[in-house]
Amino acid sequence: MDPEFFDRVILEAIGEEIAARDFYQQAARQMKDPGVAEIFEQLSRDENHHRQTLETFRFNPLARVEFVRALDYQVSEQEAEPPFSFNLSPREALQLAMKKEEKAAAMYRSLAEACRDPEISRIYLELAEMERGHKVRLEELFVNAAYPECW
Amino acid sequence: MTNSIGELEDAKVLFVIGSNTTEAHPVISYYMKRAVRNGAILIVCDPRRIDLVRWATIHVQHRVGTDVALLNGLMNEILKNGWEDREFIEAHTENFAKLQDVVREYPLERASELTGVPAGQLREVARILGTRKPASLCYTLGITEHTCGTDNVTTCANLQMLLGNLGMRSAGVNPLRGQNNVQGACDMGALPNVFPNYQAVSDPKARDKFARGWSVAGLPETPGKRMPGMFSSMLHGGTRALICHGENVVMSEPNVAHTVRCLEAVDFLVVLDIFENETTPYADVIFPCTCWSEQDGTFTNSERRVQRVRAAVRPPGECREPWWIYNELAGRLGVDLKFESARGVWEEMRSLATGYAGISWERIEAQGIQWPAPTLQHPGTPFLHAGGNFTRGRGMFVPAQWRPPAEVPDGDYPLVLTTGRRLWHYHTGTQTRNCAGFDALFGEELVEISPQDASELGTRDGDYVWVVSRRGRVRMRAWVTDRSPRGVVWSCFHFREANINVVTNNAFDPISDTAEYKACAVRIEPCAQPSPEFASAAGLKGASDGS
Repeated sequence: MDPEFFDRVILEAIGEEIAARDFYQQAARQMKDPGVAEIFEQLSRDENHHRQTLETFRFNPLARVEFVRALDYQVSEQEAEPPFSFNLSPREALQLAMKKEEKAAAMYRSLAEACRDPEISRIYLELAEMERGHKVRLEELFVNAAYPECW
Repeated sequence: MTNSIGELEDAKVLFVIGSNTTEAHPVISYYMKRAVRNGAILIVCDPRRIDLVRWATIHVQHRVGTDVALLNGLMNEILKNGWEDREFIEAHTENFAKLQDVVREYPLERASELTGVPAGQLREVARILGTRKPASLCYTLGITEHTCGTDNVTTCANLQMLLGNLGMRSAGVNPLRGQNNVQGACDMGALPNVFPNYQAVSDPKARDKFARGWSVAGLPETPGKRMPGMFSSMLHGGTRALICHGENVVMSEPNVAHTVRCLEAVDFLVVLDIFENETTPYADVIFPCTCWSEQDGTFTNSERRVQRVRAAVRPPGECREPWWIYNELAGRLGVDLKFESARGVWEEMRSLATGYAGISWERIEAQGIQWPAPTLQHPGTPFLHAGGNFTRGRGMFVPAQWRPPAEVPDGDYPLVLTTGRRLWHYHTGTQTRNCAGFDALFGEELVEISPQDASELGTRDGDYVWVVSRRGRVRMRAWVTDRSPRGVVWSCFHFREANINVVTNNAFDPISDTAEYKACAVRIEPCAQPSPEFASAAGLKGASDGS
């Protein structure tokens, strides 16, 4: 594996996490519902944590890029992405976030398919797994929040 | 229920309030008894010495209608001792300061004065709740059937949020539902303000989804009426037609005379039921329905578990499955519902309510699944709010002040009447009063009177008495027992010959519209002579038929 290419791949992934962190940070400031703002603040912190995880791989050549396989119930896949607005409900905020993670995982899977270097392809697949793990975590939050029994 | 029935047996504390579990929910009571056998502390809060008290570590015998005062007093003591779950409160709740402000007004001395429970016992209960986890709170109609029922429920939720007993196994706020499928009926949208799966009719997106799904236009934008509103408006020409499905309202509604006036005023009444009952004489049309063993479909139980049921026998005569009746009725009103089977109804539900989408007919062939289960891969959800995640983001403390029932004892009506269910009979008796075996086990309604009250009234065990309120009078035999405390009498509405709902109060919770079956003022009068049967006394149609 070309170390420079590896570095570029990881740097791009870090860039994606930073962009997501900034998006959630910005969104948190704009939300009208303080509960939703709080969800976005937490998501921003999560993305920052993801960034740190990726930096560990970048600066520690001995670490093997590998993520836990999450049990995926594909909840996000059946949900529509709500349009971004300042009036998002907690349910919509989580919907939006899990769709973002779903898209990120799909992007890395596409890159893995397009890549000729098997080791780099494996790295992309691992990054897809990382995003899938994030999606699954958000799906858990979503299932707990999205189906109110109230009348 | 936020949690599952099976989890009860692993709770460290069971806090049961307003639930005569062994009689009304005998299966769930087994799990409670198993919890006790596993070392759980069982705290039963009930004005009566119900059967479950035999397994309880502590029986809190508070006065009828003082649940909010009791729970606020416990929270006061928990806060005073720092037993609250600060981490949970800070991370997952809001409005805590307001809760503190309100419960500060309920020091143990005041709570004791309002509830009649010794302060020492309240202190001990607070200590147990504050120092053992997980604690599961279970309640039933003893909490909801009050004019302050909504306050009672939110106060139960306040207690569990204060203790961080939500979003974890064997904890939660667990209303035990009254019928095998009351949960399913609510889930299916048998409520005036929501479509299936609690999607609000006021939400344009939900309306659009259901309009497309049902191929109809003009779905209502505002909630319909609840039962009390429906009935009262019959008297003024507001509600002109009524369908009663499996609801024997003459027996089950408070203040029978009022219910009868409403039914006599309505232009057109349709009843769907499995037998003729006290409501059918008022019907213009009766649709005979299949019962549980004669039909396919699903029942959803208290723990949100969707379970398949199957027809085991052919229905008699012209009985039809309810979905078929509604399909035909809709067709004659110009709407083709397109249902051909119970499964078709379920498939529609799955397509319009994503919380059910993963619960396919095949997946529940052998074992039910607990919603939400939004995809076919999803295993279902044994407990809700994992990790302290609530639908609205943070859990909101909604503190309440205690207020007395709508009607309290006075010189004319010096006793509190509270009502409930018996093990041997079910609800209005449409099923169990048509089964000779149950009548052999318990064949006559009784009114429980404490030995002290009986002594003062000169009433002996087995004497006929009149139970009299401002709304009417009903005759039944007295059962002199210390199950009821002094000043409280208790009875049921299973028997048409002696239906306690002749005297209950049609006062309602302002938010839920639930009637205050659990508290009204009555007096007991001697009844020396044989008296007219209930049906005649209440002026019901079909009175001469007896039961």
